[in-house]
Amino acid sequence: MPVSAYDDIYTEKINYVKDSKIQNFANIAIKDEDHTLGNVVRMQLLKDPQVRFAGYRRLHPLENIIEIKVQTEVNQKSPPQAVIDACQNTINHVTAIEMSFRKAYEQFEMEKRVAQLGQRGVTGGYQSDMPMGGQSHYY
Amino acid sequence: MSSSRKEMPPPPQEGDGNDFHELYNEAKLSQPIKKIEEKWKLVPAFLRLRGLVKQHIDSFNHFLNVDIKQVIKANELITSEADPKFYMKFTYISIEKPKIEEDCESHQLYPNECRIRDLTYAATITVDLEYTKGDRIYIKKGVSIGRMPMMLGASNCWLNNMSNDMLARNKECPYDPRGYFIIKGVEKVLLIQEQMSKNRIIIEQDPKKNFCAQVTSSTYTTKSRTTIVHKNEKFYLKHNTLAEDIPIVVAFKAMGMQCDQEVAQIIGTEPMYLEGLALSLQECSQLNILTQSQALEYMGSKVKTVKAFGPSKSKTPSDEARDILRNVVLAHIPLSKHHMPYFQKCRYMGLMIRRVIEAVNDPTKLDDKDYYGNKRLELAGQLISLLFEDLFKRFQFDLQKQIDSALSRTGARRDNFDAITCIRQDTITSGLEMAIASGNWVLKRFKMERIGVTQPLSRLSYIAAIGMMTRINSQFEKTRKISGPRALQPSHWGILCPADTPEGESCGLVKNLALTTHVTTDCPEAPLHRICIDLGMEDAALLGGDELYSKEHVLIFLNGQPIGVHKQPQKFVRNFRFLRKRGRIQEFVSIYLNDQQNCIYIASDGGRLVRPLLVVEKGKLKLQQRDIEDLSLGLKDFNDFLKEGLIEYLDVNEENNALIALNEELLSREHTTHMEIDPFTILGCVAGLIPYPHHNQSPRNTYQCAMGKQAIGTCGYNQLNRVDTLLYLMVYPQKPLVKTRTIEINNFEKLPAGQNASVAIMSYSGYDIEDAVILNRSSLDRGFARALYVRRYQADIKRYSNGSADVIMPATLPKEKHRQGMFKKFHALDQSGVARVGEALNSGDIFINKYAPVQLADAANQTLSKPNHQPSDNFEYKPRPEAYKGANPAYVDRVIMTSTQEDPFLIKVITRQTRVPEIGDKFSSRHGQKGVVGLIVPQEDMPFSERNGWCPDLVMNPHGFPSRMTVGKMIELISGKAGVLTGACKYGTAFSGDPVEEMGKLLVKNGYSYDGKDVLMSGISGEILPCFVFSGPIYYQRLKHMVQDKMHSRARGPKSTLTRQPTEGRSRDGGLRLGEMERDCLIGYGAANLLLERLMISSDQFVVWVCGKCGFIGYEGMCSYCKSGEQVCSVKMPYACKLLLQELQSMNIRTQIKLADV
Repeated sequence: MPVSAYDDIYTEKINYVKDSKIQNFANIAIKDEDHTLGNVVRMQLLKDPQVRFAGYRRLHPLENIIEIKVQTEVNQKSPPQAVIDACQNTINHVTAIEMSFRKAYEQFEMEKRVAQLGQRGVTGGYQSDMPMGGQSHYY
Repeated sequence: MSSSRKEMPPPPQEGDGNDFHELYNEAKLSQPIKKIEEKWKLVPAFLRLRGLVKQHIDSFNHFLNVDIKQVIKANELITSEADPKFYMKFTYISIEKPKIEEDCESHQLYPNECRIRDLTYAATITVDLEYTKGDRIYIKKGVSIGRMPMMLGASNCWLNNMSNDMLARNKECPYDPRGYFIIKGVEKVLLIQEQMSKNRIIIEQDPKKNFCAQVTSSTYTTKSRTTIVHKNEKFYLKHNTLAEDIPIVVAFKAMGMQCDQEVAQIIGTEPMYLEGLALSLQECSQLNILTQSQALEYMGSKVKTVKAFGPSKSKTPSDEARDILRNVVLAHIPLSKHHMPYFQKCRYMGLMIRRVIEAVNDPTKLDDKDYYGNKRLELAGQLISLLFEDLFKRFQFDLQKQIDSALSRTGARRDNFDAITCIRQDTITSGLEMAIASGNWVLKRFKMERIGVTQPLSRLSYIAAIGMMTRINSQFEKTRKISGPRALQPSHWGILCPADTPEGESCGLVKNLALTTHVTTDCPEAPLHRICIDLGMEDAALLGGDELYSKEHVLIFLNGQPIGVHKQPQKFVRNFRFLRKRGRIQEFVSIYLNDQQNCIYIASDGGRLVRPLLVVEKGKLKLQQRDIEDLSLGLKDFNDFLKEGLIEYLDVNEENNALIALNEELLSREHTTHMEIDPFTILGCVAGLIPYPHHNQSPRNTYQCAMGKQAIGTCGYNQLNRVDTLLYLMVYPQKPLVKTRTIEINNFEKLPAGQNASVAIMSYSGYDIEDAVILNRSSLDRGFARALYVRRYQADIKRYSNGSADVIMPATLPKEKHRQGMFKKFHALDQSGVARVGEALNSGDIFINKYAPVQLADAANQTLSKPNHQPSDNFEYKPRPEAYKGANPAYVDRVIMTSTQEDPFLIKVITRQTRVPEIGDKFSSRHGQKGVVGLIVPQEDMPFSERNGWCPDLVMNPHGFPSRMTVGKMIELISGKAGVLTGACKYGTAFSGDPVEEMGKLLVKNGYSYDGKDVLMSGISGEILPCFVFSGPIYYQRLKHMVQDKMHSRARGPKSTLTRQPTEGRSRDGGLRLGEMERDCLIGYGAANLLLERLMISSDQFVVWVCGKCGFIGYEGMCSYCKSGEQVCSVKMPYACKLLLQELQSMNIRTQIKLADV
């Protein structure tokens, strides 16, 4: 069982440390997460007008721990709240993307089927199910 | 050969009008000469004929088929002092094919059986004998006198001319270079040895800056060095056997040239030579030596008195002098049977003096010792021949001694004595075996003592094995700091690889052959001499000094000996070469005209370096395009071209007579005589792996040559059947995308060592500084650079003289269930006591459960009283198991149980580990760019191309480029990328190869950037990287240095018994030494307590009791010297210090310790 140097400092999945010197500043360490979460949350935080500073880092490439540092404007919401909001916003974002993707996909499938039916009606032949006439580029 | 043109019969102007018009058609002349396509195809054709290691095999074949017969002929007779009628004559010698006799049955011995069973691959040497028994002469045929280790691939080896199918059946790799020996299961290579030419005059300056002429004579019987020194304007003869230098005129007189005029004439009567000689003549007359006997007496008094063993017949000094002149001085010059037996030696000495005088007057005439024409290579054949002759002599000496003692008896035993019964086979067998196994060539007769002649063949990769076969070892000492012999010379061109040499102490001394170099074997001189005479040479035997050195004609030398003169040197040389082209003279015989010395040198001796070149006549290649087509179709081969005179072999000296064009553009009508087959052949087969080497900084190619031999790959098609102690194998080797002609020729494609990695050249994370590379974890999961580590362990089951033997036994497990956990180390064993195939071995696990007998005192008595009866009962056995060591588990791959010739039982266990790259493992591209893994990153964090999902296997930091200037690597990337996109391998052959411009165009054609730089996305943020990234495939090698074999730490651990200090080295779980320099730092810093802790407390602190009165070491509280314990105190000191004090005491040196309060 590999032992991490950070095991003693960060015992929970999410560790919240309030900064004693700077107001509205917090250090949130999350275990077993990497850039995938850290980068997204940071980006969301930066979109929040109440957030003055947001950043994240991986402490060490061999340790799966990220630290998110957040500072909010004075007399606005607290840093943890900002992170929670950011996460919620992210979830909303992703859900919205998923919904629109599903919708587009269904429509695409529908159109394809209609097209196939129509083609078969005319030629009776088999059509490749490659979209866009088999164009190989991804753009 | 410019002047030879002048003698060409019809100059073009004199031809008829049509011809003239044809030749001087201006339009035709200005046309560029048509290039012959695919000329390089001659190289594989050449290598099919000669092979990459043909020089070894040729040399050994020459020994087996020619040389050994001459050795026997030179030593054919044995006589006996006891019986004058007795004689034994060796009439014929032959060597069989390797066989082995076991259980009274002889079977064919193949190399792989030798490797597995630790046998020697050797064949029986048989002789035909003629000898007397009683009054009759007997003839006996096929008597074995020993076994000759057989070179693989030699004419008497089973593998010679074996089909691939048969090779596979015998578990041999068809691409194996061969040319090595197998001694007791170990493959041994006889490295090529570089030496100065034998029997040639070398003019040089000795350490005192005196000019001298030196000749190393070498014949079958003697080897000696004769020097003529020019000292204080006078000439002296210098030789090992002479205590003092002899004035040269005295030497001439001792050889029967009593008249000063004769001496002067044999050297030359031109004023320059006479003036040079005057003082020497004067010196002789001052010594008052006028006759031969006076001279011999004088010389005899200067002979070194060597206490010779054997029958010491006291010789007179003049007899000794005569003996030396006859047999030792200039031993290679024969004596004539006429009235002047030494005439030829005198003439040769005259020639030497001439050369020295010339050099004194014009120091540019000094010979260059490093010039490669003055070097000869000694190969397996010559080395074994020397050794065999020595052993054969010893064999005969032993035989003679036995015969003598048998014949000095009387009666029936003497009459029925059969000399054949005295023949002992092991002198030759074990002598040869020992020499090859140890690499020590000790020949007392020639005072030759060489170590490290053989080396075990490196089987790390195929290239390592081939590289070893082409290696040349120089006889120079490695410690001397001279640059001359180490430097790359113009005469190395095309002969030696300019890149392949090690770094460090042996840099430039160890060299490698170029691709098309061939090393000659001896070729008989007599027919050449005959041909010279037929070509109009006047025999030197009829000529005196003046005639010999006349400017009217040139002197002709055959292998360093003057044989005659000729008036038309150009014509002679041309005719000689014509005969050679026609095949009347062996193709490797060289002839060259030295205009400066006005000499023609013909060489037919072995060890010269030759290379094939295309013949050019009248500014045109004789080779035509259709010849190449015929070659491709297999209608013709290299030999046909040789016979047709399209190709010629030139040695280093003859190259001086040739003007060799590099390519068609450089052909000139007037002077060009030859053209290179292809410029890439100047590189060796290891440097030939580098793509675009001509774009790299030269040391980088040298580094790659060293690293290519450490790359993990494939070592042969039989690699999984091999039983080497250590084998690194790559799991998924790939052939390189960017290849070279050499790669195709030396079968690197079939047995590769590396993989085509997708490389992004960019900075990533900071874990890539100092040449570290970043690896993609998913690539590793897919098998990138995965290697097998195969290791062999073995145990032999010995029988002892007292009748006992080692035993292996299955694990004895206790019956109690709860105790069985303690016997976990036996878990891998099966019923025979050896590990099962497929079992995992962890540290401490036993895989051969061996027990050795311990002789108890009473048991020993018992066995003494009744020997050889019921042995096993009387012995107690102690466990001597073979246990696995290592942090990571290994798996039992194979178990081999067999017997050797000595031991009836031999067990080999082969274990296997799969090694996935980890942080700290070493990688390198083919451009001397090595680096360790700095970080392994999950693929999702790696940069990628949004356009096609491309993602690197490896990220390399661009800071590796500017200072190293390995432009070849960048071109490899572009060519590789173009190759991937077009679906074809690209060529990076030296001096040719696919040009970058075309590769760039191919990239553009496929929708990529011309310069190989592409848009990548960050795997971390998902955003586009703010710069273009140079990315594409580069062939990467995984090197054998792996963290797993090197990592080491220690907190507490073993101590050495003598000093009680921590042990040293990883294998002994040793400590890390705080050395002298580290100690100096601590002293400088004043950290006294840290020093004390490191050097004593944590190391070998020991408490001794010292007596304050006498200062000796006593016991606890007691001094045995003062017999009191009054002033005895305990003192802490290093155990090493206590040891020193006691050792001094044991040498009667009194050391006192004075105690005082601090």
